[in-house]
Amino acid sequence: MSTEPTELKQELKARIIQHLNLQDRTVESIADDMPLFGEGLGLDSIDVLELIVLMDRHYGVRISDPQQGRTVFQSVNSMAEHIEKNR
Amino acid sequence: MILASTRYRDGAFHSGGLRFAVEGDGADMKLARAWDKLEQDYPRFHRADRLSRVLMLGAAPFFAPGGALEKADREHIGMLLCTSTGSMESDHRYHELLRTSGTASPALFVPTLPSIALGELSIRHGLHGSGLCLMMTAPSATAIAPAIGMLRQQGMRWAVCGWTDTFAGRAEAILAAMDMEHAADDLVNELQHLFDEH
Amino acid sequence: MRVPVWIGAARCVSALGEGAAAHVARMRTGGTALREHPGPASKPMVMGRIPEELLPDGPDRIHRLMDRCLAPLLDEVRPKPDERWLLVIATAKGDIHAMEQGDAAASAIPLLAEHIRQRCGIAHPPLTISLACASGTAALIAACTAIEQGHADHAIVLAADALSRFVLDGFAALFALDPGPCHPFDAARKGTTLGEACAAVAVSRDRSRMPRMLGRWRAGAIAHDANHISGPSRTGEGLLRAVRSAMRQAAVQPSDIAVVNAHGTGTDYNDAMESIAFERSGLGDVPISGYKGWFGHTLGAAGLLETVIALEALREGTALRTEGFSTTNVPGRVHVLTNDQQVRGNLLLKTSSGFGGANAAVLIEAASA
Repeated sequence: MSTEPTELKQELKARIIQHLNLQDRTVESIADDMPLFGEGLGLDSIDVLELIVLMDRHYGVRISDPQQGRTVFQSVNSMAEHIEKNR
Repeated sequence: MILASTRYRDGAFHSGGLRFAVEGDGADMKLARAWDKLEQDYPRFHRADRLSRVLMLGAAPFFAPGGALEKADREHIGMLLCTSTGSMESDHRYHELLRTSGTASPALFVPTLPSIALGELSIRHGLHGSGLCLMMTAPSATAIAPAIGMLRQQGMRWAVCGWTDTFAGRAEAILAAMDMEHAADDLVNELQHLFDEH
Repeated sequence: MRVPVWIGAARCVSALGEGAAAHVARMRTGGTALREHPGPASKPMVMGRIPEELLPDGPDRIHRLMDRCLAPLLDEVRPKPDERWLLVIATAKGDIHAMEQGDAAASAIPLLAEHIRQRCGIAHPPLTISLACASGTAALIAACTAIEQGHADHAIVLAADALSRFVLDGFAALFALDPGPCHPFDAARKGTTLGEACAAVAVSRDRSRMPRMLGRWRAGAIAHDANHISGPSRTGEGLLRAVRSAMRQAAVQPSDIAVVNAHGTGTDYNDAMESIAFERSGLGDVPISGYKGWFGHTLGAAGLLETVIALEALREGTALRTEGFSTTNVPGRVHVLTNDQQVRGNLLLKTSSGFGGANAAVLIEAASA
């Protein structure tokens, strides 16, 4: 597990932008602790599912319940934490 | 009668007195630039599938300030979308990713139904009315006359009606904002005329 | 005065069997047809797959499904190649198998529609409707309204969708599938189960020439949620509007409706939404069934297939139970049937809802047995 936490977070941001087609976003515009849903990045329920695919495909981390996804996908911080713990 | 009409084809947009053309690398970039030209504050546009985007773009002037349907009651605006390729562009994207990666993308799967474009348009403008997506090889107003009648039967006073197609790099829309309280034959004839100019 | 429109000559095939009467018989005495089959990547998956022996030979599955219903229907009603006949087709994914085989262009739905038009020998260009999971119900509305308004005297309505990896994987990615057979409206529901089907009917203003009369058209409506692309409105906005519009057009009260045949997919959000819309429509006491626990969610075919079966049962004064349902926890007050029940009256309300926030509702009077 060579990826440093900061490096992992930057990589996650880039993947989120690419995967969710957030054309108006840059890696710099997403803070580590920014809420991904609601007021923050404004993601919706389909995006949760898309992030589940992202986690599985790139980090081999499986999330089998979209409700659990809501906690994992609170922010880039929580996503990175979940990856570190589970991969 | 047709209150207003718009045309978009591969970067060239025409709506009443408004006429412009945008350059860009590919259909998606052109659509994005045309959208920016219309000064629409609606970030969701950029995340929608191509069929939905070309429909939202073509219909935007109808709902803009001073537009033909700006003040129309959203409960009584119907939608008729004719298309030959439907969601094939989205089908292809979804299927290619599934084939090459082995995992299905939920976000790409949803727009593999052409009527998703009606959903996007209805969300954009709060349209609760009736609507159909009709698949046909070429735009034909006579072929959809029964569908126009159906909207009227269900109390649709106005309609966004027309043709959109997107596949293999192409993107086009010919749309009309219609006042439905006119003789059915006249509506069909006017719409056919609009398609024939195409 | 509205022109009376008659519905009959029904044909249908699903995992449960062939023909409306056979469906009703199996639903009265047997259990679900949903079972494990090899799914994508050979993983076993519960689905409603039509047994091979029920399907004729053909180039691929969607054609085989359609031909199963179309061939006998055409023998029976013999449409004429004049402008008084209309063909209305409903499908969500058509020949998507062609794309899976690498031929994207061949998957175009108008190609399939033209093939069917020629097969039917109908001159008028077909009305080919794609309205997600509301396609079948929408097609019936379009056909019956076309006849009421004089665009045609007779119509054939054909609705079909076949199982495909394309759709199975897509619904799985949406976490919309129950691992077992689905449980519409039930507290234990975990998602839907996919199936495949074809249903076809003839619709006509000429009562005397309608074989195997099934019912009389009253009214129908389509409405949009304008809320979310993949999830239904929490408050049932679109379905409520579709039901209200149909009831207004037909000038009926909730108490006139004998039974509601719901969309009932078995997903948490859909069934919750429907219960709210039905309660808001004043239908909280009317018996409700959903049929997807028997043969699965058959997408664009679902609305027409379920209408045909519900009418066949209602002809005999019966509302069939909801397979897979025992206790409910949906937020709206609804009377979901756990047992087959004799009902008073002959008026069916059938509803469908789909992605894109499209909702369709039809009111049809069942013919007497």
